[in-house]
Amino acid sequence: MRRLWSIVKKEIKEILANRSAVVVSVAVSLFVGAMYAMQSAMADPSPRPANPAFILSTIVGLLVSYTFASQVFYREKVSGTIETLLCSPISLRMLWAGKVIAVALPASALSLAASVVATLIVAARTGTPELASGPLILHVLIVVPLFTATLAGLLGFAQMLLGMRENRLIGFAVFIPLFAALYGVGFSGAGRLAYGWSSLGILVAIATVLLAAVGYLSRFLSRERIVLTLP
Amino acid sequence: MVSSTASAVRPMIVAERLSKAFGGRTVLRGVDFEIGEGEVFGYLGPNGAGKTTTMRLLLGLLRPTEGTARVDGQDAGRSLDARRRIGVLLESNGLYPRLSAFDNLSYYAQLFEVPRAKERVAEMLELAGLTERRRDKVGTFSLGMRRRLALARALLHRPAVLFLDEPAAGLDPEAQKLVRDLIASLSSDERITVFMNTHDLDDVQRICSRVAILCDGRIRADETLKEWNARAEASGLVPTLVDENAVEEASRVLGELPDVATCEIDGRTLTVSTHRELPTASVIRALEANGIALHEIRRARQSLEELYLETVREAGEDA
Repeated sequence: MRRLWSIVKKEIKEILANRSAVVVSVAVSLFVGAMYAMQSAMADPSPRPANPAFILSTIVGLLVSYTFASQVFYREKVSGTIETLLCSPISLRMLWAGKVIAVALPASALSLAASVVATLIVAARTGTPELASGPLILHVLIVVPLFTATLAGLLGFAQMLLGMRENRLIGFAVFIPLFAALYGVGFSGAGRLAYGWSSLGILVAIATVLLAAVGYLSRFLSRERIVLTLP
Repeated sequence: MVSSTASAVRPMIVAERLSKAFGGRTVLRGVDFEIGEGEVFGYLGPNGAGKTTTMRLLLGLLRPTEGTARVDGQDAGRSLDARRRIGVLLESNGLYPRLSAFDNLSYYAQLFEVPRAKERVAEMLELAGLTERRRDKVGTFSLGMRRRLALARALLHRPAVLFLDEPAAGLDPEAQKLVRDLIASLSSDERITVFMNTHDLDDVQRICSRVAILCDGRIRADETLKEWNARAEASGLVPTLVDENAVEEASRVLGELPDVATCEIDGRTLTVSTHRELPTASVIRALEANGIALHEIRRARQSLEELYLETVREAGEDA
């Protein structure tokens, strides 16, 4: 467990050391949050489709997870560190898990920050804070982190399976269905937010099953596959 | 030329009939060796001979097509415990450029669960001469500094076996000496076994106790440095004749002697290279018996480089 957290800490350090990626992620999160909130606050409350916290946590969480996940796996190969790392006493599964947690933590933190900013702006502009329901709060605190981890896990697994190669096509093929599931489950047929306990349950189940499945499959990853793609 | 240098000491690295094919291309063909505790094993060979593949098989990064590779009795590909006993310095230093020297070492100290990690990291930074720069990002370091740091990382967890790929590459002469002295002392004082891929024959002569040459996926020579040196001493004779017109005849006569490999003519001097030591007296007798007058005769000492090139050339001819 200590070694897993060593991987997590090191990955977060590396993510934070990449200042341009961090600045872009934070700026986009806050900018999108602010813009959405301003637009939302100007609209007549009745047709407002969804609570800003729901929309923003979803968008920001997955986008940031996608950005960071693309870096943390592929970077090991680009910087020539993967071969030495594979000689250390850690399994590929632990390496995968450490990287997934390291991506999910900042992505979830940023999604939460964007949601809070958006909620505060809406409250300031309208004077009537739009209070989130219990399921919505749990959505931001549990479902979105789970989905950020699932996205990072699937992307990381695909990259490791391909020998630490980044494949954008696979990236989009993973991102789009997850985003659609996360965004779509909360809406009713009339296009309005109808996020309740059942939506929450469905999303938690989807993320848990996917994450558990890919976690199980990660035991079959091969060091040879990775090494053979090295120059 | 391949000697069975089975050590009386504990075998730390063992390759048995080790073969590896990628698709239809065979890169390694039945490689056998056993490296004992405390040996410094120099693994030589031209580019593409299969040196990196051998090292990757021993490190468990690749699975052999046939045969086995063991480090301290275990398969490093399957056993995390075996990997705890291995230190590596590969061609790419394997350092994280965005992290500091301290963070790079600390990360590996945690992965290897090094006891009293902070003290050990400080000790290794001192060894690498990077204590002053410990907070600087590795990306700002020179090639030599990175190499030293990577070597410090390889030694951080006190491995029993060290795998080094061109350890002195990119270092200035002073740092090269430091690295060589360090490897020599690790072997002699701490009984660390060293497997070293290299092209640098100077490195080999200074620090290796045993040398193997790999060509075209096969080991063509595997001898202790003592044996190499003895062979270098015994590898040739240079007779100079009184009469230049007799050199062709002398070349024919000497070429018929057992163990003579080649006989090259340069004016009235012949360079006779031999497979094993040829007594000077037998050359003198053979020439005298054919009425060829000798002006002088001396022994030629081949350098390790010449022996290496000869082995590679012979391997090429065999192939």
